[in-house]
Amino acid sequence: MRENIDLVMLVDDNDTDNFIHKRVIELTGFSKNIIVKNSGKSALEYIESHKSNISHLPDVIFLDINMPIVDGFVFLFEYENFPEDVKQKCKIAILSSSDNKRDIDRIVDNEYVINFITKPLSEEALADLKKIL
Amino acid sequence: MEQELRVREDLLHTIFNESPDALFLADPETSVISTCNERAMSMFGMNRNDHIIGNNLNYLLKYPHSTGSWNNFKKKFSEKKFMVQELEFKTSGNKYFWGSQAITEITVGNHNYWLVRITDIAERVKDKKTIEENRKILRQVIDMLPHQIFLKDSRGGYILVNKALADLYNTGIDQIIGKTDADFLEKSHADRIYTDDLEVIEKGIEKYIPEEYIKDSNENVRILQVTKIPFFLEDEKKPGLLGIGIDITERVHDKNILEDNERKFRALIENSSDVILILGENFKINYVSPSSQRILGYHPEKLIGKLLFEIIDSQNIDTLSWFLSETISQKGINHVLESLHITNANGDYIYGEVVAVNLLEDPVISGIIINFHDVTKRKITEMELLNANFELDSFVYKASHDLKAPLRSVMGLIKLAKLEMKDNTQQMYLDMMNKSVHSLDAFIKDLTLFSRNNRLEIETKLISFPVIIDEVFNNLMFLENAYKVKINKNIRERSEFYSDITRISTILNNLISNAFKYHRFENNSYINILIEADVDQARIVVEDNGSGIDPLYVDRIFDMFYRASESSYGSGLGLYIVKNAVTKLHGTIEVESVLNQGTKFEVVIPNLKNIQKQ
Repeated sequence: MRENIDLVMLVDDNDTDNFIHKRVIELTGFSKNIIVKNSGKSALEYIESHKSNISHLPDVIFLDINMPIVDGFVFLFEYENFPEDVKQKCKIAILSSSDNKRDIDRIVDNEYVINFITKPLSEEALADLKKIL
Repeated sequence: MEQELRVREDLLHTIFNESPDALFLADPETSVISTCNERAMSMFGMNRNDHIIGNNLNYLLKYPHSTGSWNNFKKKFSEKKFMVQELEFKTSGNKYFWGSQAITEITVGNHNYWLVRITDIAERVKDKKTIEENRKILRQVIDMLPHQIFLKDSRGGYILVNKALADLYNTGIDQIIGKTDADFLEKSHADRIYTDDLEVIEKGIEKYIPEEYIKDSNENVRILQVTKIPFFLEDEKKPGLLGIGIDITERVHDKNILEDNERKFRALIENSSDVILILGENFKINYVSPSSQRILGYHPEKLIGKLLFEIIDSQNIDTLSWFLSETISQKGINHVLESLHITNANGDYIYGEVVAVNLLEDPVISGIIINFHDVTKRKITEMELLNANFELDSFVYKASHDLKAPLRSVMGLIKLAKLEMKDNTQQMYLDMMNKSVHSLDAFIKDLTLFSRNNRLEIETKLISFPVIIDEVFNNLMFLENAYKVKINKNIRERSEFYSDITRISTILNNLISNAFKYHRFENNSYINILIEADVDQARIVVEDNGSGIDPLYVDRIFDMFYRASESSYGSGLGLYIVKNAVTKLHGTIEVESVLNQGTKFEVVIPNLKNIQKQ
């Protein structure tokens, strides 16, 4: 259980969803700062450029699965290559409109994924997430 | 002169006494014996003193004549003066014998005498009797024979026939003797037979007629196999013939049936769309059906003597070896290999379904029969179907995701709006929007599930019912009024249970969410969930004391898009999907419901554990 979360990152190609999720996080006070990335590629680039300065890295990455080019799966594949301290810092929560069993099973197998949340992001889901951080 | 007379008398005396026959002189009137020779005494076992002289000739007979018949006899004799009869005589020891009695009248001096000569013919009579008996036996034997036996003279006239022949001509034996075939058969037929007969009689050679067609008394054609042998008859100068006919009608008939059957089977095999092979013990091809030309492109002769392995693709050799060794290990049992690749003469792949049976010990076949059924077209269609199914599944998955994503955005926006706007009317509108969006979301989910249940194969995994039930309740706990219902869970897993997890989840999700949706939320509301899993099956009971189902509609609740309640806000797909999923898992579902009292669903799903292991 962590009380103070400084920074979270939203990775979703859908700007509406990014707006909604940002607002919910702000309204619930889940995190003080929020970075929004509207592609998997730009999210990876952000982590790459800050990997030596862990304080600039998010505590939680909300990752959408269905995105063009670098989708959730590709993102996780690339994420494996980051240094261990990066992966320790950034916990990943999948935030997807899919409730497909196949997708869930594939993702949950990944050791850096701590949760699977079905859109829309709710106060309850954030509360649950906070418990396991 | 006197001496000369004495010599003559001695000679006569000697002749009289040395005769091998008994000789008597008797008085023609009284038939009293006046003298007899030595032979007469020994023949009748008497001596001179034992009344032979002076005895009546009549008393030598076994059955003496009565006075009347004796007088008749004497009267007859006086006309002919000579008489020969075969009679039975009696000796002094009361033994009987047959003798031939010849009587002539002679005159000696002034007297007339009967000279009676009796010859012992016992042997002759016995022989005659034996001959008569033998004749009878032979007659019986030839009459009992089922074959036609006959003797014909040189003109083709019947001299002897047996009963079998008489029966064939539907007449008596005596009615045939002396007649020819022309009396019984059509002229052309009789002429042809006579031509055969003449050949035998004139050339003196045996003749064999393999099939002689004769109509019997019932107008049925009988087929005889006839042998005719030249035969010399004692009192005819020309030879005749002995004929033996054997009725082979049934045999020919059976043979024809066999031949017909063989033709049929041959036609079946030759026109079959399957290739049939017979392999020897060494797996060499001993027989190939002609269909091989059409199906494999190989002329049968090119395959005979080859090993079956030579026309099989190398990657299939192991499969085929295994299959053949299985076949060999069990005699007379059909073994099926569902798919085997063969390269045909053009180098194209063909898929075959192979059925093999070991008949090495069958004396006729003595080989392994292999039936190769070309399933290439079916296989290609199957693969196309699989591919189409896969594409359709991907499409449904993608489409449902793309339908859902904007819905989820709307849900998120509603949530946000509710957080940020405090006006009551607006809150009410937002709630209504939320409800509509959720029902659309549920519908999309149902459509996806329905589509996938129908097309996707069962994916067997170990099922944990407590985990599935927890997931179901996690989804349901935010339902309105959910807290008002008491949930009683009773899960007993007595054995590992294997089934398709997606379908089991779908079933439980729908049944339990229905129990919530149609609850009356009164005091003492409950939902009982009982799950019992054992080695054979899982029994799932979901029971509530909710609103129940109107008996009018209960039969239709599993129909597609059918909604049995006015308060239903679902798609009408839920129970249809449940029913389909249960059917797919080879299970059963039953419902009991009383309106305004409650509903009980009972589902039984077989445990697929054993199938999982294979």
